[in-house]
Amino acid sequence: MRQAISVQNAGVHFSIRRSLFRKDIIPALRDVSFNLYHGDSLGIIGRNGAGKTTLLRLLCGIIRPDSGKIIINNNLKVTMLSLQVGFEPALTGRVNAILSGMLLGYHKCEVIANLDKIIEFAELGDFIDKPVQTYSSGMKARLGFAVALRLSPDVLLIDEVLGVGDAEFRKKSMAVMKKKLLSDQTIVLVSHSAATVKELCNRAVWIEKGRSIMEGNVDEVIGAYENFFAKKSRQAVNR
Amino acid sequence: MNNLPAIRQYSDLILVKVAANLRSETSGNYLGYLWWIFEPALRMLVYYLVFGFLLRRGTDDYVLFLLTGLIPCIWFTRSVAGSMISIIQGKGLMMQVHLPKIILPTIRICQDAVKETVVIILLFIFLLLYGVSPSLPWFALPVMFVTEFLLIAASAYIISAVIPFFPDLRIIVPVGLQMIMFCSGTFYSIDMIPAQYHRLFLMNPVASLLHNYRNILLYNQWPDWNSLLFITAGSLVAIYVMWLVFRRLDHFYPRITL
Repeated sequence: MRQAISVQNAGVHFSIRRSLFRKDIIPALRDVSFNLYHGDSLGIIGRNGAGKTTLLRLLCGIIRPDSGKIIINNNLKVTMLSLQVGFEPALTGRVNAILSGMLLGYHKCEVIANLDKIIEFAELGDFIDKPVQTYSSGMKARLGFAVALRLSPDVLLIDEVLGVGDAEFRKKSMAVMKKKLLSDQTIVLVSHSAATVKELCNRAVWIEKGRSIMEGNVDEVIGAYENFFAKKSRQAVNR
Repeated sequence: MNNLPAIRQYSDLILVKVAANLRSETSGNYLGYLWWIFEPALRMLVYYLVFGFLLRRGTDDYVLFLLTGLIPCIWFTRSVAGSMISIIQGKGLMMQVHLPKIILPTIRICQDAVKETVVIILLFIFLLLYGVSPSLPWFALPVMFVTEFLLIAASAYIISAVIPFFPDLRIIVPVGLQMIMFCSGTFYSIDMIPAQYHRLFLMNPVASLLHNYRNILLYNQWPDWNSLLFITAGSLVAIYVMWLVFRRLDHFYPRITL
């Protein structure tokens, strides 16, 4: 298997300046290592505050690590599936789809070529030419999701957005994601839901308090993760 | 360098985003694009009423004198003030996608430049109505606009790059801009200050630009090419340096604007 991204002992800390002489240092990631291979679907699991979102930002190049390193093979295009990137509420869905696609790093013509597919997938119908501010939040989310999903980067990063839209749309997105997995799309999925990771991923990394604790086959990692918390909650009940 | 396609990609993005912002800005009010004309026209009317009608300051030409200075000066101060917080405002965006951050102030100054075009056309109409006849030196005006645009870009890049580090400057910058406005001879001519200060006065690039605008529009003189060259060259150097600075800080801004 070819390696796509290798994360080696990555650490990130944010310093937040409170005033002229005071600043707080907040460690978001301490020591995270794992490998991502082509065609992999890697689940990153951890509780709230484990550093999952920071890790995704690191992977798509928004920030750089303070310690350790990230090696991305031959300039792969890594994109975060972010919903509604740069949406302007006063403009139509069509304009926003183009804008959003361009912000995600695609050429205008690429986005326009895919526009029909995007509109179809988002199930917006005539609403596509109405201002986005008239949309329901579900419609907005669907449009954002459709843009991000229809333009396939080399590596797709997903941050728990599967709870988008109504049940039917969710099912449809799940189906598309699964298809992407089978079609050799490389995916990193971040979630605190063991069930989601189990359903969509073949490998997993468990992150706890900014450290990667375990990496491997999805069933092993999720098994350990669930056991750990089962034990913990038993202890809490007993106490 | 293999970043030529990237540059094209990003300049396309800037164009689309500028168009989108302008459209979105105007869609909030009933008269839409008409405000691009009404707002500056009203502004000119205010100055006409106060200086041309109420105060009857000096000669009749004072209104012309005022407008030919005020309009380019307002372009500068507005554009710089507007792009000041462009990096901070782009926080949501830069947490979602990786973008060269220099794009954010660029979008803002391009947006203002488009609106300024309308104002300048209005100014021409006003000048013609007032009986000023175009002359050969008017051909130098495009050079003036380009020079001023570069000066705005250089100032906007420097200020928007610094503000995320020292957010308190947001309070100082408008004061500074007001000072530039008053020190650039918007309301008075260079002849009103002592001759020994003329050199010092014209070292302020905005003052020098306004002086040249007036020489062209009101006195049918060619601009002082040396000073234009100096401003253009200085601005280009500053823009290049800021481009390097932004490239260095690209991954840093998302952290501090957290």
